[in-house]
Amino acid sequence: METLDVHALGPSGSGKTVFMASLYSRLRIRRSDLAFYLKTDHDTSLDLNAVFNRIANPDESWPEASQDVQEWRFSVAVPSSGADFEPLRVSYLDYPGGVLTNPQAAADGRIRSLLDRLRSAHGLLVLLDGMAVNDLMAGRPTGQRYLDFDLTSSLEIAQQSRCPIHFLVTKWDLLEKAYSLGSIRDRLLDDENFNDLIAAKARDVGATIRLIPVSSVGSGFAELTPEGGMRKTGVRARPYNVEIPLVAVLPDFMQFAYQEVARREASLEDAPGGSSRIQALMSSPDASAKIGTYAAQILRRIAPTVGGRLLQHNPALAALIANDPETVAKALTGLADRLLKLRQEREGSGRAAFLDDLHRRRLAVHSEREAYEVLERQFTTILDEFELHHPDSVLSAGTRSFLQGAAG
Amino acid sequence: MKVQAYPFAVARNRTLDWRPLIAPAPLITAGQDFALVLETAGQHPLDLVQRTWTDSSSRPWLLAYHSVPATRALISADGTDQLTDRFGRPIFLVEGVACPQVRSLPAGGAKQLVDQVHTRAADKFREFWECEDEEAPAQATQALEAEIKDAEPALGPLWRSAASAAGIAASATLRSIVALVEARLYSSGTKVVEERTW
Ligand SMILES: Nc1nc2c(ncn2[C@@H]2O[C@H](COP(=O)(O)OP(=O)(O)O)[C@@H](O)[C@H]2O)c(=O)[nH]1
Ligand SMILES: [Mg+2]
Repeated sequence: METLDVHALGPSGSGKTVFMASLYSRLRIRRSDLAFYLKTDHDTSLDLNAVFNRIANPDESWPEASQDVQEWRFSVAVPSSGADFEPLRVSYLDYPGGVLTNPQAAADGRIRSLLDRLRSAHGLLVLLDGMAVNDLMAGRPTGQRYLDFDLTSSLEIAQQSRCPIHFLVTKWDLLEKAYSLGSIRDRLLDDENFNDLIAAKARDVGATIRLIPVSSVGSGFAELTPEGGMRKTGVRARPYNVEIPLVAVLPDFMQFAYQEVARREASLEDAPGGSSRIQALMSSPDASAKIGTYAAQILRRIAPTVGGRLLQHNPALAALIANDPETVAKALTGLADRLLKLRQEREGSGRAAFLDDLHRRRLAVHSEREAYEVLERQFTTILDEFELHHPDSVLSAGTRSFLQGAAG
Repeated sequence: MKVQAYPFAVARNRTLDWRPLIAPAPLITAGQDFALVLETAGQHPLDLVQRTWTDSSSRPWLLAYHSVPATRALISADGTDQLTDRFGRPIFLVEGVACPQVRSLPAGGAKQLVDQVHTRAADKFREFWECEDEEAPAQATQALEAEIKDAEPALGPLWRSAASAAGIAASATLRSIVALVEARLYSSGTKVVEERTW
């Protein structure tokens, strides 16, 4: 499997660096409740651990603001009883958020290529600064200013990209007592620019858009001071939801790719009303198998030439397909069927039995392909449960609606 | 050798992210002054650093700089505590010189040049502290010419093409002639004047 580029968008201070350090520190250890962990090279590991130790230490100041562009690369490892398999790699770009808003920065060649890479990500995490969201909810002008000015360049890049998007409400620890996710969602959708972006993305791209509350440090770890700073209280860090954006990227991207391929097929056959044809495809009794076959055919047809319209529209998907068409075709083939079956299994056997089964499957993994399947099971399970507990977190599409479409 | 040293400084304030406050005039003209931010990243505060950098027209530069905690004393008369941004992150001021066509400087010479930048960088920082204008450009600096013994010249694209055309590892004399020609070529177009405030 190729590398998934999952990048953060957000002005300086929105929490990009702290989030990555927290995510890594949470997932770098094998945990009994998860079928995977994150692996990286020695230097990256030292760097990120140092950043997180500094965050977690109440006697130290927060890490410095990022000054250059840094790429963190991880592989998602599935430990079986024999060996560790690494069916998925993830890359995350960290950078000084100011480059999104500073016109002088945009003149720099390295910054321009950074922006290109952000636009062609497989998944974008738009970090909504919890402090600014707090201001917005309290009706302070700084909150509106954040939406009108600070966030616009991030939204613009999100607009220009073609991939699933997750809005992360960062610093959730500051908001959780006062506001529900639903009320924040309503307030954001009240904003014309934000609403337009979601509507346009839903219409033109159709990829899933989520709103995920995250805290890189957890409840009570820090508090706002009257001067507007962020004081560490001495409470232990207990990150909240930091793994959800990572877990969501693979299923969301694959569902999106699946639909892109279906759209492509619909337009190839020149059927009237492309989207109604997709509907028809999706809701026919053998939808998943059909689309899976289509996917494989199309990928075989377009991969060698790297020229089709799909590829022009979607450089991220193009790169995946060009590098590894067979794996992508396999991942897409029968995707909806598999996801539906998983859900039925889970509902049929109960959560505990399902997780026991996942555990057994993991130990029995013998190939990268099987490891990928275990990851798919694990990720979709976490995501499904997350969607169930946070119905307000789906701004557009989502796993449930994908499966409903596929089930007809 | 005669060295041209352009003062530069990069920093942040409570709201604005890293940016050059003062930067070499030719880099600002070419839209390349932001590279100073990316090139001087590190674990602040930094002791004197010398590093080479090549701009987009393949011109070699030496960046000699250090960084200091930006303290309250920089913006008002009293207080030595370090300034922070609105999230509580510490703020540093990076200050130094950018020297075209130079590969390295003797430590003493580099330190002398860098130390001379502080007053100017601090003045600019005081003004910058209140700035909220995302589009405010860096202030252009002109080069100071300093005679520095044992400075080592860097050879640019002209040298490389000359050397590859000749297919040789050329003599020291040829190297210094090419270095001279390159320096002349690049400085035509930007008038190099001695910095009066120095
Ligand atoms: N309360 C709280 N503060 C946070 C959290 N994450 C980040 N912060 C604050 O936000 C600041 C900026 O975070 P950082 O990751 O450096 O932002 P970046 O510029 O986007 O990389 C930190 O210094 C903290 O003050 C969080 O989960 N909870
Ligand atoms: Mg950062």
